[in-house]
Amino acid sequence: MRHGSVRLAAVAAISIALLAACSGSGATNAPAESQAPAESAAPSAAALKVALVLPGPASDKGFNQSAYEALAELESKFGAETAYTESVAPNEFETAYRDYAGKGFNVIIGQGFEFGDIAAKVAPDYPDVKFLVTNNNALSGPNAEGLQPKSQDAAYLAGVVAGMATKSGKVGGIAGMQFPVIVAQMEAYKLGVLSVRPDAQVTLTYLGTFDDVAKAKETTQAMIDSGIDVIYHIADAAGVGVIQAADAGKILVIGWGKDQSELAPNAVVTSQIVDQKEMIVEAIGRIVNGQFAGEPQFFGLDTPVLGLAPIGAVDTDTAAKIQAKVDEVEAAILSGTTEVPFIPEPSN
Amino acid sequence: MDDLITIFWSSAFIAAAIRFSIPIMLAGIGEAISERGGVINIGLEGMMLAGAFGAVVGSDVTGNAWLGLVFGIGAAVLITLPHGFISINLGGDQIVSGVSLNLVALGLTTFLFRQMFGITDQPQVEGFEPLEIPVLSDLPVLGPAVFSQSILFFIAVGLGLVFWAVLFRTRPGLRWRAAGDDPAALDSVGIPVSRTRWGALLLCAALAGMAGAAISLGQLFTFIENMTGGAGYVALALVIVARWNPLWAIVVAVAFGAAEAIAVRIQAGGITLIPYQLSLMLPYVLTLVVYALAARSGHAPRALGKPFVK
Repeated sequence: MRHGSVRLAAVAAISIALLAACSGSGATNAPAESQAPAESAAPSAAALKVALVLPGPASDKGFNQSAYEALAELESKFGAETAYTESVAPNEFETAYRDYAGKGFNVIIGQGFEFGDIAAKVAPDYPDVKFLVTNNNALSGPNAEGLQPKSQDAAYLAGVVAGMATKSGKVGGIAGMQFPVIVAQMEAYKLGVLSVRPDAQVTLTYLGTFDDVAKAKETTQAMIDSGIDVIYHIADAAGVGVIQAADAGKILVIGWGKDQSELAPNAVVTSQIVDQKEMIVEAIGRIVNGQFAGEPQFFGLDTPVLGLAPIGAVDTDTAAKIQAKVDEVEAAILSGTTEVPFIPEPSN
Repeated sequence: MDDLITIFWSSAFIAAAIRFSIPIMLAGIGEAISERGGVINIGLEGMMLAGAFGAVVGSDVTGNAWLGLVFGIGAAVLITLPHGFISINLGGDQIVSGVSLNLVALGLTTFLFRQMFGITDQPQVEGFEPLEIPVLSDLPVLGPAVFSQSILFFIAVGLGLVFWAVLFRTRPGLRWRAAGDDPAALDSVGIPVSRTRWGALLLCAALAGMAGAAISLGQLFTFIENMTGGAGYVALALVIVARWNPLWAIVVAVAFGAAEAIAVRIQAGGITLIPYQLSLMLPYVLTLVVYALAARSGHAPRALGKPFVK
């Protein structure tokens, strides 16, 4: 018993060290050489150092991964030096920000609305560092900027596809959690369905998780059993389960994030593109060219950030018909004739 | 009301309940044996995750789901060795060691999977497809629900029966129960407690590895970080409700699976009566209720979680 506590401490220490080694190895957050802080207002390409802070795992097949994939492009396109930290908890946001700012990074990107407050707080302390927060419609300042894709516009188009493609008149939507930006897309999807199929029955479900693939799969199966024949998902990694179950159940599914047709070519009718990568590359491009805006930037269907993947998994006649309708609705949204509302609360 | 009946008394619902139950059934049977032997495994979740990971790697390398299952069992056993050494040989705290196991398993599987497949790739491997047992699967309602499951379901039920018999009808089973109830008595008749406990623990690890493989190879045919999603903790609760009895573990696992299936189906069936947060809570509320009802009958192995030092 005497040695019990010593052993216990040793065990704990070893486990924590192991864990730290494992979770830290993916990140490259130790800069190779120390760099003098950028002195010019617009950093030259050689001195561009971009850090990305992710709230979830970089491999989530969705939201976080698409931002992570921007880093490789920043390296090749702008010769940037990049680093990232993943699965950062909200109470560590500020530490991560100050860490990177102190290490001479001149652009720091927070992936997700929730980084806005911290960016606004930290930005004045580091006037030479640019702070970008994605999916944020409010952040502004001399060195801070929110980047907001109008995802609900693309979700509405996804709804149009579902409404055109359904035979039973019953369609579903499965999302991870009830975050405002996600609810807004689910509700816009529903409106899109009803715009082409007013009598359709739309069932929207929230899993309460983004990574429980088994639950996503069972939820999809339950929807199929109730007669639903087109399902839309915003569930990142869990969405893989939605697509698998839809494929097995021989119904149609709408992917999210990037074109997911390769996962199940016979089931994925289209995917809602929300390309965080394009958005980040655009913003960094403006910084490199000295065109930093300092106020929220919005990305609509006319940018490569948003859109729908080509229609597939149906016969060519149907695909052409759906595509024509999508083009028509897209034009109406871009011209302002159709305005898709942002509904942050579930309607039901 | 008709809606409710069609949702809950249907092949599809019973099939979903059984699919949910397979991993927790396997893990629960293993944990029942280990706890009977006096070792509690908070690290059950980590063992399952290691099993899920090992199974996908094994199946990817060999192209064979059965060999994948063997790899999964091996991975779970390997990651359990330090826990066994600390809690059995060193007499360390089983809870601390079990929590460490969970943390290490999550970090290690994430790290290794990314090393092997990168961040953006998602391998699809050979898995266990649902069987179609001739004749039986044509029976009304129960046929498609019970006899069109993956083979792992039948293996799980078989193992539950076998280990119930071993535990309560054979000499090794008696030793396991003695190691958990009165290790001093076992020691006094000259049987080493540590060896007995090691046996129970490794058996549990093997079953937890199968449980992990049941998720990765039985349902998804791929590995996703943290894919066990808390099933290990559900299995820990299941063992208590099942009174440390492998036979009851089968029944309770199906009941827990049914609760999960209800939660999913209430929402997806378009029943908006119940807010989704409440329907997601259902399995846990049910666990608490059943636990409250079962808490008085029987008792935990007396030396559960207690190191045995001569």
